[in-house]
Amino acid sequence: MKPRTKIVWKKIFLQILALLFIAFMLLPIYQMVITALRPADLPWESPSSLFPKKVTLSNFAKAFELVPRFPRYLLNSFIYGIGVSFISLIIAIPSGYALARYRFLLKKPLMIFVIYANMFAPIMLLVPIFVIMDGLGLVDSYMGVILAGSVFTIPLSTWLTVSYMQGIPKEIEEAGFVDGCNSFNIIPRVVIPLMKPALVAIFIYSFITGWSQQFILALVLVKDDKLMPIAQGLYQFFSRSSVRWNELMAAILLSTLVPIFLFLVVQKYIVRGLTSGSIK
Amino acid sequence: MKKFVVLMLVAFLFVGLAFSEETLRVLLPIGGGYTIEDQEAIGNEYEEANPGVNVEMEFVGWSNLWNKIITSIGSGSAPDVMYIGSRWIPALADLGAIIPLDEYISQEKRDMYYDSVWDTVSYSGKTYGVVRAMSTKAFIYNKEMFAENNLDIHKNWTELKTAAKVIDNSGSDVYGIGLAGQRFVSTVTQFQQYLYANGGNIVNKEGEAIINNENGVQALDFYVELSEYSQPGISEWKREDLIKLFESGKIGMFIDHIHNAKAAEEKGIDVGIFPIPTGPMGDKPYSTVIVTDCISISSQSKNKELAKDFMNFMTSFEKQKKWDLTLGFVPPMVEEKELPEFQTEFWKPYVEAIQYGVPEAVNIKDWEGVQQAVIDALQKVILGQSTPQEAMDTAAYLINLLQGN
Amino acid sequence: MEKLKKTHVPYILIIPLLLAFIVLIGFPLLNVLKTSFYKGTFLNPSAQSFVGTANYEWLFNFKIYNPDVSYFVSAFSRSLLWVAMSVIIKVVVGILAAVLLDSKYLIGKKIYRALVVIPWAIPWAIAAMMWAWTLNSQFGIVNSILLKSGLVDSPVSFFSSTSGAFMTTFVIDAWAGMPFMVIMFISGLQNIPETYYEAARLDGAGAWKQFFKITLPIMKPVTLTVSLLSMVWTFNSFDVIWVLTQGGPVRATETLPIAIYNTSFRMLRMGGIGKASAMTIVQVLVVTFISVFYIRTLREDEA
Repeated sequence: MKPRTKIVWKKIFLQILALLFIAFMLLPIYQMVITALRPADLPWESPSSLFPKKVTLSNFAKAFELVPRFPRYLLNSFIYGIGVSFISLIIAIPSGYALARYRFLLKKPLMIFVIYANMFAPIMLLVPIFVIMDGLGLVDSYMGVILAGSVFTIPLSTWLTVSYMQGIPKEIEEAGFVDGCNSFNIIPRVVIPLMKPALVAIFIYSFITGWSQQFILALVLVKDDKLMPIAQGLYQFFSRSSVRWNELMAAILLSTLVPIFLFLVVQKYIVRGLTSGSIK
Repeated sequence: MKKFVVLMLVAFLFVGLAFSEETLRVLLPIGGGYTIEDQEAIGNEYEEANPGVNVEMEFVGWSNLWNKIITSIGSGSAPDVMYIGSRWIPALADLGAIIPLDEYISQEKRDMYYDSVWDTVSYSGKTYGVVRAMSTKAFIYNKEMFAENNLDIHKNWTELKTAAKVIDNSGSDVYGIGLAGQRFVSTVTQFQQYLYANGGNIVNKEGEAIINNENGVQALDFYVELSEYSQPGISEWKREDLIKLFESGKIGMFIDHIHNAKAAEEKGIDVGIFPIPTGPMGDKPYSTVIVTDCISISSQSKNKELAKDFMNFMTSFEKQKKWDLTLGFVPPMVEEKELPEFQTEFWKPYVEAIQYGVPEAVNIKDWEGVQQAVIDALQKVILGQSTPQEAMDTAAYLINLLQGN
Repeated sequence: MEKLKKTHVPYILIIPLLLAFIVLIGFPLLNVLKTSFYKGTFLNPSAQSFVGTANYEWLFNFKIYNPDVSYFVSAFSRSLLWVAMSVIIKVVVGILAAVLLDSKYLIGKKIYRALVVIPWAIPWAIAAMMWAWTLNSQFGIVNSILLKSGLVDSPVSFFSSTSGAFMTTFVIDAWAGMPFMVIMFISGLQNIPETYYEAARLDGAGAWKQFFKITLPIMKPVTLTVSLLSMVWTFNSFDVIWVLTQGGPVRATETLPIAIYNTSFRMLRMGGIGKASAMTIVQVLVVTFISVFYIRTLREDEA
């Protein structure tokens, strides 16, 4: 009997640990949810109650009222997400294929540069990117933000395609060549279908980056409210006057549903894509 | 490559379209009550009255307004009409980014406003903006709490401190006063109330830093003393969040705009208002900081006449009155003040305070930098890192550097 | 004709990548380098004047806020400490959490793993806003829990002291980066054959011994590479601190990225683009330095 009870205790212990850890990871989300569901006309409670006594869905509707461009911000974030993932894919696919399959002069330095470029973050290139976009007339434009955002997703995306390609046996392409493909249309016909998990990973990663992690880029490149992404658009309503927290939390909750949903649906692919190849 | 060419073509197309009618570009803020619809309505009205003119409004959140202004000036694409915080006038005027408006403002228009209002938009003897929004502040207090503790409205700092102490001690869950201390623009204004009430200022008429004189140091000292009877950890709080404390009955009083007084009333608090009491070294019965925003015209504008016309249109008596009533802003025009709408129990202290008000930032060339210096001083003393005198001396040193003295 | 084309193919395929690198990374980098030798502000970019190495000297001479240490050096050292703390938490907690979530004794593993990833999907700036509210001394649930469980007598204010703000921000940053670490570590763990553990168990080794003697050593390469990556990403972190404290109170949380932003946009008279560029070049050098290590380790792995 003893080893069995030992195992049962072990299971209980681990379960508690896991619950505590997840609680820590989801704590602010819980706070957001109970604030969003709390009727806005109730005075604030201090200390706040841990479980909502009254719930309402009115804050969600009110959020749209208070932030009239809310749907627009959502759309903008979506556009940035799609734009950045589109560009990342367009660049990563041919480059990944070339770097994985061919030997050529620039290969080594380019590979190193791909890994190196991965280390850059928007804050470092903020001013010159602004100057360049300004010179191209792309400040306050969708294209400008998409291009600037892609700068930071292209390296990792390329790296992913290269790693993934390296893990795929060459026989399949060789069969394609035998079938009559040339060096170029082999890509859409054979390579892309083969790379699906990596492509999904790239799509999700760059979409989420384009959708949400663009805070500082949007801060500098986008001043016109019509083009504001979600994070920026909502942050604006934080300043100058007292914040309607309940409605703001409702708005934030709504806006995070999209990436969370996407994430949960495809997280299998992300893990697979990220961990195949040379990272191990 | 192809993308680049396409981009250029598209860009040319847009430029071409823009020349088909006269366009006036107007930069306006949103957030904190400023809505897009209200402001666009003004634009549409103007377009109807002036066919052939296209009013193009650009909206930016308040936190991005300064960034937007400087980057668009720097890239030569500044809008014609710009809504700016008057505190930015010295910096923008020095750069030649905005033009003096004296010749565009008739004597009649001048007389419509208080003198102290024009003070807020003057620099080097010239006027650079027409005031669009003005705010003064007063103390908002919880009448019930005061009655429970037998407190009256205070007329000086001693009474203020006593009241804060009494309320603070009246319960473990209640604090005397709400104070702000977070690294944010509104915190500076909160402190300035005490600075001005004590007869002090950040710089003098010549632009030299005087924040570390007796008045300033005493004000800082008092602010920190008060924090003993305020909510704990004031560095965590912005002025904009203090209302939550008040609404939940945790503080007895705090300084804020009128619309928060109304908001608290809606949540069931018995609200009262009193003007900010004068400090031991002050020479007026009470005081307040006058903060204004104004409409300015950029020097890069190619439609200055049109811009001036629109500016006057936006700031007509009727429009100004509607704007102020809707947003809860203090009326900058003399006639407005006499209107019955502004004579209510809530409005009176805010309106009366104008005569004793001091503009927020006059003769300050780099407001963003000066702000940082003042907040540093405040936070240092709150954290116990320096004495008020030391903190103010450092602030004065930095401010003089920023002023180019 | 066919032969010629074959050797040219890769070059054609990489054209988009090259373009992107040159235009979007190369030019900006060179531009930053160039600007670091000039003086100017955003308001008047055309009025830039050449100042040689003056900006770099400024990095070490500008001692207004602290007579002993220059503005740049303070920000830099703050970054070093802040990054170290955040990465340590991410790695240590990350590995432990990965072991936990991969354990065969844990019921509902898959659900936990799906949940742990959620923070990653939230924009950092927004996550920071949420944490600000959660940790609020009067209205946040953290204080509520602390007070109601009797752990503290009066509300805890997380941001109002210099050390408090410093610690709270790097903990929140660690939280934001945790999903990535956990995922990486879990996949690393799954590569360890079960047979190793079985052998150890037969030898009488307990759970902790197995962890230290089998898990950690095999995980070393993954840990190293992931830590280096995290170091770089954390070094560049801006959003979290900006939203929470804006570098305050009194610069306690002003890391290098924040200082660069302030120098470019907030300190019009004392700062300027030139100086910010000089700071950025130093940041680039640090990142390059770490990357060299990183690339070396990857190469070793491949060999």
